[in-house]
Amino acid sequence: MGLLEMLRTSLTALRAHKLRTSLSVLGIVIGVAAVVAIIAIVNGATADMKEQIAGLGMRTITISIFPQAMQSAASVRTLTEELTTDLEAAPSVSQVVPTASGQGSAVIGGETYQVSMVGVTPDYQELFDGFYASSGRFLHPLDDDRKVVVLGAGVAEDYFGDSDPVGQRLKLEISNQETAFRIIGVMSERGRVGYQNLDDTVYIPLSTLQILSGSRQFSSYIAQAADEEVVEQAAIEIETILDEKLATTTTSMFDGRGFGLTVISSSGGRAVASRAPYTVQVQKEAIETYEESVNTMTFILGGVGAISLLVGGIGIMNIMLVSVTERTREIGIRMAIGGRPRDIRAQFLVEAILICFLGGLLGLGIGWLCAWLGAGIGDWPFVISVYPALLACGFSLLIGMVFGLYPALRASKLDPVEALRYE
Amino acid sequence: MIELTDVTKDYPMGEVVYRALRGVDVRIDEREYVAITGASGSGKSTLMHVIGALHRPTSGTALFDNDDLGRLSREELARIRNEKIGFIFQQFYLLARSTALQNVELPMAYAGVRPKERRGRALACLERVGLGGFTHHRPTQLSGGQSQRVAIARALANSPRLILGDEPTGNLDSHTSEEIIRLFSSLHDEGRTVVIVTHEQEIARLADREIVLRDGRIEEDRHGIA
Repeated sequence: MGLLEMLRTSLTALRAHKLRTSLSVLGIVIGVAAVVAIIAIVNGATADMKEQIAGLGMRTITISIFPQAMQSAASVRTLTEELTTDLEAAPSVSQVVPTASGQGSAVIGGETYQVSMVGVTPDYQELFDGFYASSGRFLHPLDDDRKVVVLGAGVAEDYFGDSDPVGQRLKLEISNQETAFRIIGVMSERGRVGYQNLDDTVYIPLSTLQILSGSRQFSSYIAQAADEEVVEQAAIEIETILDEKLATTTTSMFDGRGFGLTVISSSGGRAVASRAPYTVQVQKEAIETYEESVNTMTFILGGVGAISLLVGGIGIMNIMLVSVTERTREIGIRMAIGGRPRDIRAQFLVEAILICFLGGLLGLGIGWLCAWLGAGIGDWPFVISVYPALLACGFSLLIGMVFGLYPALRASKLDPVEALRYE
Repeated sequence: MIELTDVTKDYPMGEVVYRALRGVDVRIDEREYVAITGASGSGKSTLMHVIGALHRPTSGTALFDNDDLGRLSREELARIRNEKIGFIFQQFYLLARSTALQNVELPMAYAGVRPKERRGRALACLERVGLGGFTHHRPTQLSGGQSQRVAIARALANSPRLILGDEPTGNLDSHTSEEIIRLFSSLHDEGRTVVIVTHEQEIARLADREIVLRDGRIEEDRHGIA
């Protein structure tokens, strides 16, 4: 009997018990759907995250210094200038741009909105390709200490709509104090880079922000290594400079409170718990760290999916055993008219595999649907990959084979006369 | 065609072993028309199962076309049943989910006959038993007599030389029984060997030879009653 015919016979048998078949295949469906959805979601999210992290450029080193390390507005300012100069002097570093960021509220036309505010120097613009003023201009060194602001494309669109905000005024609340700023430019759309959305941000001169906010702020530096090869070397140089500089400048930083910060060190992903009041992060490491946590997640969730598939397989075996018992007489008839034990075995095996395969296909569809919904919610690309699809189908076939074998063997070993007499 | 020598057959019945056949010697030649009779429990069904290659004898030899059935594998026995024997049972034993045509095609499917040829031959077999118009009926839509005709058509599918009937009229009214028996007789007339297990004397009388079993032994072997 050909395979095609056995498939047809199996389909007839399965159709005779639609509800039972559907229920028994549920375990496989859920297992496959879970695995497929997890893989697709992780792939999509990873691609998105990688793009964002890589968007900063692989030469980029992010340095964050914690507010406790700073003292007064004046010292912050001096320190920033000194650090920028010192860091730029490091042999493997080509450029250092200081920034300071914070959440704040903006008052536009009497309404208050939450915006993310970044204090930057004019060099900031050069860090990102395709980031330029689409109207007005970006900050200029002569803007230092002035109360001027440049809007990200999203902010301009959200709060000013079609009208050109350049020349208009808005009030920013910094350190519980409202200050009026003049809008001098609107930036081009650039989207998310790293952990920040360039479009949803307002940019003010760093010096202005430092004056207005005093010392309680997070200051960061975005440094560029001379080239990708020396990124790690550059990070080591930066750490050395920071250790010296911060130790001599601030004596109160190790005041026993203990920051317990984790420094993602430059030397090959070695994470060292340290009391250093800063972090230095290399983009490559950020990606690696992210991938590591994603892999762990994938492994755990994949394991859950695998267990579900195993349970599903046992369900299939159970239902196949029931089916063999129920169809004992049919087996007897088939044997009496010349069905060989191996024909009977093949028939039940094909049936088990068919159930699992159909379950696998259904699971694949549901998994993709979940992944598609997840991509919509999480705003990352919906990545359909062939490999997990093949894996899911192959795995469900395998489960059918493994768990269908015993029932099929049992069917083939029945005695034809006894099987015929079975009531 | 069939030669049994001192055949015994035991069935385990829980702890004890039930000996259904206790040394049977019988020879059935090509083109014979044989009725096997006897009271219930006499071993006539068991004898038919041994002749029909459904059961291997416990001891003794059972030769079918000089093949020793006791030494063949289950696969080989299935092949013999498929190619050389057509079974007709009291309960018809049709596949409930399949149409008449599909039921008749089944032995040919196991024999590896191509689907196209299979269909033609199955139609011819149904025609032969007078059910040309019932090809797509399912067993539940058929009367007892019609079902048994489908079963006969199925038995004929691979043109076997031996037709085995196990109480083929046991579930039929007398009128239908007569028709079915007439069909058996015509199969014999066409040159097939026919063996029928029955407890009805009228049917046994139609055969050329009657083997009477009692307590697992042949009590009488009469020739030429017809």
